[in-house]
Amino acid sequence: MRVHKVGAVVRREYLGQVRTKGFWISTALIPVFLVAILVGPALFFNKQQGTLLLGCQDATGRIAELLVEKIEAAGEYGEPLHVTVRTLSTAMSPDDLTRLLLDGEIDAYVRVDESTIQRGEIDYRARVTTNIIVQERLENIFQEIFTAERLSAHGFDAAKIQELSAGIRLNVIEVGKEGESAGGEVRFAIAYVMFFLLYMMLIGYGQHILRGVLEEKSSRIVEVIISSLRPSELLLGKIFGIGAVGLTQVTVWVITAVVLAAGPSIGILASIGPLPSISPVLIFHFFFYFLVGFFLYATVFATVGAIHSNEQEAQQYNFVAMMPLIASVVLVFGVINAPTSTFSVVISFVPLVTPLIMLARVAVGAVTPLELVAADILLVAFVALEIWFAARIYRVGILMYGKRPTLPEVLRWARY
Amino acid sequence: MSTILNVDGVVKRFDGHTAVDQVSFSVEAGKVYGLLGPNGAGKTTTIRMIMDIIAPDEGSVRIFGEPRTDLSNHRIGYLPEERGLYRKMTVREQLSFLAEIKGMHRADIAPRVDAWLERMELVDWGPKKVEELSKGMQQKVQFIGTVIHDPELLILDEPFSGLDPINVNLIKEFMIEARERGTAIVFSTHVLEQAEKLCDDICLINRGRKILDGPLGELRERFRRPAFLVKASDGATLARLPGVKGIQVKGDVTRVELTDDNARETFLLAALNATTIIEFRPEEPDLEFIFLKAVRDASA
Repeated sequence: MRVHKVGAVVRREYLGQVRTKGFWISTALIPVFLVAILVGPALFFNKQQGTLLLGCQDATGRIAELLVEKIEAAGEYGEPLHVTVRTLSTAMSPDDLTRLLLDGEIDAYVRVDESTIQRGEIDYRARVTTNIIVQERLENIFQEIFTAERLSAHGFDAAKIQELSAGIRLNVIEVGKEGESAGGEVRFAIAYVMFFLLYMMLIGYGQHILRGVLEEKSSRIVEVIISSLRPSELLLGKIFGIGAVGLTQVTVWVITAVVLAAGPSIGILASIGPLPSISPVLIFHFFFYFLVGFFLYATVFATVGAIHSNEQEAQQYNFVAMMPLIASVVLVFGVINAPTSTFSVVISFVPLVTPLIMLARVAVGAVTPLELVAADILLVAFVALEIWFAARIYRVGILMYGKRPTLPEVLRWARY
Repeated sequence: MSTILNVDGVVKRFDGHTAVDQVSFSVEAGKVYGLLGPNGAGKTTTIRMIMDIIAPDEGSVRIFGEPRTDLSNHRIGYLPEERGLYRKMTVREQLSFLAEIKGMHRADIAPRVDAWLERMELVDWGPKKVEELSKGMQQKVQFIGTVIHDPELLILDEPFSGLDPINVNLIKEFMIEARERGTAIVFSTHVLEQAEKLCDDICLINRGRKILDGPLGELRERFRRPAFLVKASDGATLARLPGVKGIQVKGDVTRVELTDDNARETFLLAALNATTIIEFRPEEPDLEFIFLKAVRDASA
């Protein structure tokens, strides 16, 4: 390994990217885009979500009124609930109600009578049934109303019930060594943003490596290069060069985030309240998982590139190589919800998904130091083995043209 | 005279057919060595084995008297048959990069790049991206990249393909100059005329086998026929002269083939009597003739 030569490749790859406008534009836009898609919908849906017009055919004559009251009150200890109640005449037949619904006069309706209250079961009929958050809140409201109804039917004082069943609010306070902070949703958001940043970087830079290798191969420049350096030097230079590009990007982001968090709270940041502390362990692991994860996937994608002669051919294996990353996205929702479950712990030890899944777990603060160190060591060992293996395939692959090799052929290359 | 390159009995088989079969030759410093043969003869495969891009199934290659090492790479310049450059890099960056991975020091590179751009009439194109260049210009850039580090051994696979006559001359001039400095040059071509005036030694390859090699002058002697090119006032009369096997009239030059070399004097005296001789010279066998004859002899 000659540092001078690897250095030339690193510089070529690094400057080739960092000097382009595209690099700086994407560095600026990716976090904006991520925050927009992760936080945007929450803001957008709450504000813009139209009001649900709920029909209520109330045979008891009491429930509809209570419903209106409770829906208004819901906004006092949580997000406002955008539901307007329209009382429907008890003379209307089920067919009439269906027609109202289908004509768009109402969005949904419920029918309530004494037996409904006794059974504790209520049918919610609607054209759109996927607004599960609203449904869940309505269910809670009916729960309160029906409970109160049942209690008063047993002789409890209505005013007393009202007073005793006042709304409850769960204040989430995260306790850490550094003190207390607002955890919960903000912690959740940080885990997501970091996870998706890393995910996008691993996919993006992986694809960049893949295209680079294919370009060298299909333009045949690789023959000239290989008359000057060893394939392993070219591979290493390429990976270090592109890795440095990514590291530059991560550094820009982390510095920006630290400055924003440390500076006076402005705009949207101020509205969040005290930010949960981003621990040094988390920042370290963001860098660490970027670097190791990058090596992990860069070598995979470089190998995929080396095996094929052009991008079309490479698509199939390219997709296979991306599978663990895509799987991580599917898994992360469960992991963040139950970060200490056996399942979460076990999958965070699978090296191909460790960088992403472990990062999410570290971000929500649910990993023991022992676990973390063990998973990191396993990951690094795996990557070392992988680089050794990939370099052997790459060495043969980049000079092979013609028909796409079969998997057994590729594995044979590793033994040359 | 030192031997720079030694190819010893290399064999390469691909899926049942033998692309190169027991090819051996050696190249001396200060010589231009032509690797000649039709398309598909095995020239590029031989070159790729020399360059260690593919490994020979049998035989060996020694460069500068030893098996290939990383260090010997610095002393070799290689122009592959299929050209390729980084499309998004500027001409100047590209050349600097190629020079740097050949082990040149960064401080030495810039003046060398300037001199070469000047020489190849590409000065204005230095800051342009490669993809903006015409194909011919890209070829010149690639050629510069091959020679910028002053290699002692130059391996050029079909260096003239796709170039216009002016640029072919630029490269030929360079090859002659480099030879003067003691560079050993191996170049392959399927266009035999291109090798005619350039080669000191040649190796003819057909269907993977070497059919002939040696110094071009000696080969010409060996394949010389008792034929003369005569410019005479009346070419047609030459046919009836003693010792003449046959004639062909090509414009104002008549090609006279004699029965054998000994008939030369008899014929010349008779010719001087029969007509006015303006020019009389022995016919040099061209490479195409040598090649076809050698192929026939080899299969006979």
